[in-house]
Amino acid sequence: MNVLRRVAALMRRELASYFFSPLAWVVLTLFLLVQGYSFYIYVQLVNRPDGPHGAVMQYFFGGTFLYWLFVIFIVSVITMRLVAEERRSGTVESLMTAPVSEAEVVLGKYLAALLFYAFLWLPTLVYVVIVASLVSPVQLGWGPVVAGYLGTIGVGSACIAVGLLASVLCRNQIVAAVLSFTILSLLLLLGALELFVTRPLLRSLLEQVNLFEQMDEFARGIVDSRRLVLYLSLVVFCLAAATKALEAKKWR
Amino acid sequence: MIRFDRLRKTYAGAVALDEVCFEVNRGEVMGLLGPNGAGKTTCLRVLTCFVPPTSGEVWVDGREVQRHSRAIRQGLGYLPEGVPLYPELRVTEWFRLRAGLRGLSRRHGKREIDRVVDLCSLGSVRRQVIGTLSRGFRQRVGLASALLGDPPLVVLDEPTVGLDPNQIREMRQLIRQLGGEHTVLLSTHVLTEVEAVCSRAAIINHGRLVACGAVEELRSGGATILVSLRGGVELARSTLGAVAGVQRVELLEQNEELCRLRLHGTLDADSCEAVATAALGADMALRELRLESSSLEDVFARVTVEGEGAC
Repeated sequence: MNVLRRVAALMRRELASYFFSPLAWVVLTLFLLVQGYSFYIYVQLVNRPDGPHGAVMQYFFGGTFLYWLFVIFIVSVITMRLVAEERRSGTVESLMTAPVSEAEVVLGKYLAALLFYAFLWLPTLVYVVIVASLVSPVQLGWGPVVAGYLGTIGVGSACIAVGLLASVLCRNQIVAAVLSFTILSLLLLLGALELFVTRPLLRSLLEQVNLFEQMDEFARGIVDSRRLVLYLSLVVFCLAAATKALEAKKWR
Repeated sequence: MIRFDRLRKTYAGAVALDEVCFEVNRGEVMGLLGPNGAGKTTCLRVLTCFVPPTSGEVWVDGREVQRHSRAIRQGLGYLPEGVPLYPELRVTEWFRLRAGLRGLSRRHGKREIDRVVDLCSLGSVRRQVIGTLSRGFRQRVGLASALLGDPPLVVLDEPTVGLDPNQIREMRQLIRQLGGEHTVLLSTHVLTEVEAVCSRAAIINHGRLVACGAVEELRSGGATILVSLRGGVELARSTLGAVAGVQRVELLEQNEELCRLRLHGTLDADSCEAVATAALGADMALRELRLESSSLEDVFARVTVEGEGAC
């Protein structure tokens, strides 16, 4: 009960701080700008007589680098300040001398970032409504839409955990952002190695961590529980590492 | 209640605390005194589990702070140096966060917030954003959040720094009121503060404990006796030097008939009588005899300068 109270208190503060800073509104605006633009492009694309087949929302979620570039960038920006800011401004002393455990701090901050990330995607539901009002339900394909959002939240939750870990490790916010952007880019590009590897074992291993392909699957409406397990393991690993790093007092 | 046991802390080779030992009793207001950079903040940070000691231990109520970090933190309120608060929050939002972190229920938290807001006279700024508060109000918000949940141990790092004289007086009065029910450990480099609010004090310099005891005791430790008498300097020196408690005789001035001397050592009012008896016994007429109890300032200057000499 007390654990929940502490985590909830931390999460509330963290969420409030997002919306009290200009960062949240700048990020939200840019996010909608780019998402709106790409939505427009996909609508134009599938409407061309010689365009590719498939639903608009499928392209919206998977198959392009635009999606990934923006998810990785956004996640790096919204996670960079989580712990690094506390250490730079010294508020970490107020925080860690309160009767809270490191795990509660990490969890509270993580949940706040995840909620904010989900909040960013919320307005994109308008696109779904627009498409739904113009085409038949069969053409829209509710399955792929739901799977697309599920995949987005799944991949996002893993990316945010990585970003939080980077923020714990760095005292400087910008360094934290660069670090998480780099790690996430490498994670994304790791899957691309699949194309060049001939050894079957390594190849099948890389296939399992190919985020790019996985998002494509989700966008086509395929929900593979192995993917969700992968994201969950990433989350657990990163949050545990962040907790340990916070416990190692030399980082303070 | 608190026991610092051979506490040692080094930062990348630089010694911040060196074998510091002292105790704080339940219900007293204890001052941790020292010049800037003496290791006061480090001392408090180890107590509040913010930094681990290099060696040595700190015990609170029979529990070692590193092993029982969570329970210790639950029982203490801490005002860190510089009062780090979240500037974007409103005062009430900050208190609600702190109440939540203490695990207080919504209703209990509300009651506690009202209590500390009242205690620290923060009613007028409840809705204000912390970043827009003046230094004095920030300090009071920090103190109020240290008192939230009524912890038995209150640790304050330089609580009056940056306040104006009126605010300082209010803050001191508040701290004095805390004693008795709470154990208070505060750090400061302002001597009058210790004299005004503390019953006991520990003085540290360059990471070493140089003096510790009741404020009265510390002060009397530096008492001197000023004496003017008629007679030869040599005779006066030998006679008065033999008085119990006198360790050193300092000659202040001397003319044809009178000499003024200052006696150093462990002296009190009884020593004055002994000095008078000894002087008259040696046939020297007394002109002036006065016990000069030193201020804490003298004690401080003496022990910190002596400490430097030893280095």
